[in-house]
Amino acid sequence: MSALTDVTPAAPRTARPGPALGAGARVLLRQHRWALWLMVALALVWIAVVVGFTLWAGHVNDAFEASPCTTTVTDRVCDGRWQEFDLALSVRQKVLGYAGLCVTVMPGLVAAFVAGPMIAREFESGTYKLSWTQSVSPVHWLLARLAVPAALLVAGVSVLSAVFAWARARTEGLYPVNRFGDAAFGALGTAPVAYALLGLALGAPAGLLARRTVPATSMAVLATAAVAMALNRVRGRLWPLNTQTSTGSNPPQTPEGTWLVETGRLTGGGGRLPLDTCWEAGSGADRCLADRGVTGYYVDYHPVSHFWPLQLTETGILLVLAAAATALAFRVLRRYHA
Amino acid sequence: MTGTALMADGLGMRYRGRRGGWALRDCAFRLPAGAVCALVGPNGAGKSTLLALAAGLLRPAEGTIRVLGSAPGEARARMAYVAQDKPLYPGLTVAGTLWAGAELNPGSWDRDAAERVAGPLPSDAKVRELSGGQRTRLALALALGKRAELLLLDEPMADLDPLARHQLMGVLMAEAAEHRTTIVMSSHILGELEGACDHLLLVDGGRVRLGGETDDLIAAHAVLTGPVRDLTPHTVVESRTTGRALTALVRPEGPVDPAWDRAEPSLEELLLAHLRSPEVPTLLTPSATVHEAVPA
Repeated sequence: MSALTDVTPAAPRTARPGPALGAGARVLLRQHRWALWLMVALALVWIAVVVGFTLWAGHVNDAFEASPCTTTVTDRVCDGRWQEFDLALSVRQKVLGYAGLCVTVMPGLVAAFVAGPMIAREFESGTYKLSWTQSVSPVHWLLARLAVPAALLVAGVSVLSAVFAWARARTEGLYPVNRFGDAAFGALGTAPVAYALLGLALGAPAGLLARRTVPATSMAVLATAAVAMALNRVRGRLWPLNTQTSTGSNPPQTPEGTWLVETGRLTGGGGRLPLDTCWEAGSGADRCLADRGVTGYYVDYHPVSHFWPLQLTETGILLVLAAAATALAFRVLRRYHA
Repeated sequence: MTGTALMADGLGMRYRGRRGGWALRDCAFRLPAGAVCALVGPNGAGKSTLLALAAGLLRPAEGTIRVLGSAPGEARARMAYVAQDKPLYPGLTVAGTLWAGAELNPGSWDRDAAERVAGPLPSDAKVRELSGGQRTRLALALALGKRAELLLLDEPMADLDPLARHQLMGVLMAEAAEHRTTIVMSSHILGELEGACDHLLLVDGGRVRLGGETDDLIAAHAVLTGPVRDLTPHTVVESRTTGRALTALVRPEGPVDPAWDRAEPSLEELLLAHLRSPEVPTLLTPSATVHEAVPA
């Protein structure tokens, strides 16, 4: 018997508790503390800008309406007030446009961060060897990298979306922000949350596949942008369109705030022709149109009531894609480790 | 002494895209629990691959590896691994790294053990500010704090100065003696490990060449000096003729001709002779053999 065997054998350590997901989450948050603070700071700046400009423009608007001036009265006093009023409302429209744009590109940043610094850099610098050989399984490691940002994004982006909805609702009248606009639609309702989750979900497989920061970041951003652009292109067809037709030389009037998806010429037989039919005919246009049997216009549009169906359909598509990307990420992860 | 810390059978690993070459092939060996094993071999022999497979970081291309009686992925909480490049989260401080170790290894974290090793490090320093030797110390502190049953250390001493090496080796040996921790340490410098290890695994060209208790491996070989004569039936590892004298390192099979002087080889002689003669068959001692029935 060697001396070693005389030592009391180590007690069977089968009952070791595995760390809860919370431990992995806390370590992850500490690792990326600065990114978290930066994200919170940017969100607060965004909220301050949107709320600030909205309140300021609202104040100017109220003051103008309380004054004896109207948009048609012209005198020295009213010209000044009018200019201020006009400036405030147009600036608000621009600011909200940019704010919506910020929310629209944010999923790309999320994808880049998750794919690069959060996942691929662990492979590039070898720290995955540290992370995966603690008592935390690689599956837990990835789960923390998905669950923590997901929780933060759902909470944070919901606030941004609510603030944006509040601000947009105050733009009725002069210089409105249409809820169906490219930037606005992606910043309203449930879509921004779903886009952020998609960016997160696409970042994971990109980071796991590329395993290097720069290619992973590029892959994730390109994939997210491709989905966003594809959906932007087909958005109008995600819900059945309403159609109005008119006869004569004027297109039909649709209510305010609607989204005109397509306008064109209508023939007597109900056929559809492009809007620019006979534009090349110049002064002979009337004759040209008559020759082709054009009797009026048609408009395919989404009324305001289609906003939520469109939002929820798009959200559903995004969440399905995000779930698929997440499943792919776990598949890729399983292929690597034991 | 019944437990098995590490067992490989038909283990092979090839990396994608590297001309399809095998980093490790047909590896079969067993390491009993409680062993302190030197994993030696030249650079690129497959030592790191073997340790990464045992740590569950890689999935074997063929064969199996069992760690503490289960698959590597299931033994994660019971083993600790220090990779060759000593990866650590660069943004965390020394204290933060130890905190992360405690968070990620609840139920087994031994704060004192970790602090003992990390003691000389500035606890507020960021990991990215540490020297190579300091990083090694912190990585070892994490591994020891985990209070693992099996320590897998890839070139643990490479970045350390002789004093720190001596001290940390002492800590490791104390750990092994006190808690019967199994330790596998790789190195391409035998001098680092000689004297500390009671088991040896020689890996060369992706194969296991020698495995088992160091003493038994040495005893299984002999350096013969004497007249030039046929060496059968002994297995010749290496032989050299100078004039009329022959010096050979052999594995004696049966009695040795008394015309030869017989001496015990040093560990270094044994390893170098095997590295110079890649065609010599693998030798595993009974305790290192996979299919040997091990008495309970």
